[in-house]
Amino acid sequence: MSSIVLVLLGFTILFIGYRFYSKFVGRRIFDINEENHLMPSKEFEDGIDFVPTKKHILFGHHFTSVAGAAPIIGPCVAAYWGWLPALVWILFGTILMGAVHDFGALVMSVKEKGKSIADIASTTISKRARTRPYYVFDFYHPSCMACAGCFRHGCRRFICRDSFFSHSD
Amino acid sequence: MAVADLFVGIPSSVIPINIEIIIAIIMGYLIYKKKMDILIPSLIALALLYFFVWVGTKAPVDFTEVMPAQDAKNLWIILLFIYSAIASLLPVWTLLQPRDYINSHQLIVGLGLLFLGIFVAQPIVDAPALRSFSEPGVPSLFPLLFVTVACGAISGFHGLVASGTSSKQLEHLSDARMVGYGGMIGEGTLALATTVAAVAGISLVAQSDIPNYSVAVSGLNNWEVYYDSWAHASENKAAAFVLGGGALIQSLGIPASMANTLMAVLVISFAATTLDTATRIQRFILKEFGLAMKIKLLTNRYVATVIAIVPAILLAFWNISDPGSGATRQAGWVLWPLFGASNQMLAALTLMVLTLYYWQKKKPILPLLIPMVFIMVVTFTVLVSNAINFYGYNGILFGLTILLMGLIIWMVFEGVNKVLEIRRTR
Repeated sequence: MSSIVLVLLGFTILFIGYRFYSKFVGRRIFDINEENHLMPSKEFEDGIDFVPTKKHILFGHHFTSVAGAAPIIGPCVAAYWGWLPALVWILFGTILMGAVHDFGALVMSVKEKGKSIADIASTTISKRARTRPYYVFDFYHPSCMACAGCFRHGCRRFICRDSFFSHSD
Repeated sequence: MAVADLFVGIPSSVIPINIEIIIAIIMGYLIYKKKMDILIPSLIALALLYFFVWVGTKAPVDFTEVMPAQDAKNLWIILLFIYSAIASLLPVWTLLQPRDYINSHQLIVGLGLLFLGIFVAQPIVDAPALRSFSEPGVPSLFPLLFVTVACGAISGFHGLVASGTSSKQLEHLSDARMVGYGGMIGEGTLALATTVAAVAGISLVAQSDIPNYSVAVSGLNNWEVYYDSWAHASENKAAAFVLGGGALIQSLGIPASMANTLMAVLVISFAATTLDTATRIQRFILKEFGLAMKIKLLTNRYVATVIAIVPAILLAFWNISDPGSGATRQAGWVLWPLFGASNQMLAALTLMVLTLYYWQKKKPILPLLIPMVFIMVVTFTVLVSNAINFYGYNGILFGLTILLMGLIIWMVFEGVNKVLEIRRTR
C-alpha cells in the first residue's frame, strides 16, 4: 500500500468537502450570499478589535489561531489503531462536523453583531446558559496556554537525541 | 509553557521565532498605514523568516549559560505571558494579524515540503489498516478514538476563535466560507500530513532512533516498534510526526540539521500563534460577562486582560502531584485529560446553539443536529468512563468530571426546554 494513495484520497475528500458541501451548507443554512449585510467589522469599526480585513489575511490569522499542537499530537497517538480509523475520522469529521461547526459559529456571530458564542447562547437558549459556556471556557482557556505542554515530550526527544531512550519526562 | 521549554531546549529557535514579531509590526504598518499591496511584503517577510532560521542555527540564544535551566524556563514563561497580554491589547492589525498571516505562509510552506517529501520518497505504509483487537490490552476504538484525535477533526475552541476574534474582522459575509470552513480544511490537511508521517514516514527512520526500540524486538517494522503498546503510543505524543516528518523532509535532499530546525519551527509556530489569540478572546468573554452581570470593572480592557492571564500563570507555576505517576508536575499538565473532554463538550454546545438558532429560522438543520448528537454521546461516554477511573483515586479530578457531566445534562435540558417552549407558542 503506497502512502501516495492515502494522500491523494485525503486531498480528494477535503477538496470535495470545501468545493461542494461548504457551498451547500453556506447557501441552504447559513445564508452567506445575503447582500448588503451590515458587517460588525464596519458597524463597530474601532481600529483595535473591530477591523475589516482582507480575506487572505484573516484566513491566515484564523487558521494559525485554531491550529495548535493538538492536531499534531492527536493523529500521532491515534495511528496506534492503524491508518484506517484515524484517517476516516479526520477526513469525515473535518468536512462534515468540525468545519461546519467553525463556519456556523463564524456566520452566526457576524449575524449577531460580532457577539461571542457565550453571549448568543443566552439569547438563543436561556439567560442562564450564558454563564455555563463561560465556565467551560474558563476551564479550557488555560489549557491553550498549557496546550503546548503536550508536545513537549516529542520535541524534547527530538532535540536531545541522547535522551531518546528514556521515557522519563 | 512548552514554548518556554522549547526556547530553552532548542536555543536556535529563539531568534527565528522572536524576529517574527518585529517583521510583523513592520508589515502591519506597511499594509494598513501605507496601504501597500500585500503580495510583495508577504514574500519578503517569508524570505526573511527563512533567512533568520539559518541565522538562528548560527547564533543560538541560550540563557542557561548564565542561569540554571529552571530559572531560564521561568523567565521565558513570564516573558511569554507579558507578550500575550500586550499582543492581546494592541490593535489587531499592528501585531496579531500580520504575525499570524506571515506565520501561516511559513506553515503552508512546511506542510508543502512534507507532502512533497511523501511524493519523492514514496514511503511504504508500515501500519496495518486496522490493528488486531485480539492482542491483549488494546483499548476499544469507541469512544477513545474521537477524543484522541480531538482538534484534528472538531474542537470547541474553534467556535470561540470564530465568534471571538474572526467575526469582528470579517469584511464580507461571503468570505466566511473561506475563513471558517477553509480554516478547518487547513487543519485537516495538517492532521492528514501528521497521520501519513506516523504510519508511513516512520518507515524511513533508522530503527534505533525510535523511542521504544530495543534489540530484543528485532524483526518488526518501524511502526510495530513505535506503536508496540497503547502506553508507549500515548506517551510518545508527537514524536512520530517529528521523526517521520523530519525523514520526509530529508528525502528532499535537505540536510538533517536544517530539516530538524524546520520541523521545530513548524511545531512551535502552530502552538505560539494560539496563545495570543486565546488571551484576546478571554478578554472579550470577560467583558460580555461583565456587561451581562453588571460588573463594571470587568468591562475595562486592562482589568479583563489581567484576570485572563492570572489563572494561566497559576497553572504554569503551581505544581501538584500527578495521580498517574506520583511525580510532581505542572497543574496544567495534570488537568490535561479534562481539557480534552471540556473542549469537545464546548463543540457540542456550539452545535446545539447553532441548531436551535437555525431551527427557529426554519432552515434544514440535519447537518447541524447529527454532529451535535454524535459529539454529545461521545463526550458523555468518555466522561462516564473517566469518572469510573478517577473514583476513589483522585477526588479533584473525579469532582471536576462529575461537574462537567452535570453541565452536559443541564445543557441538554435547557435545549429541550427551549424546543418545547417554541412548539407551544407556534
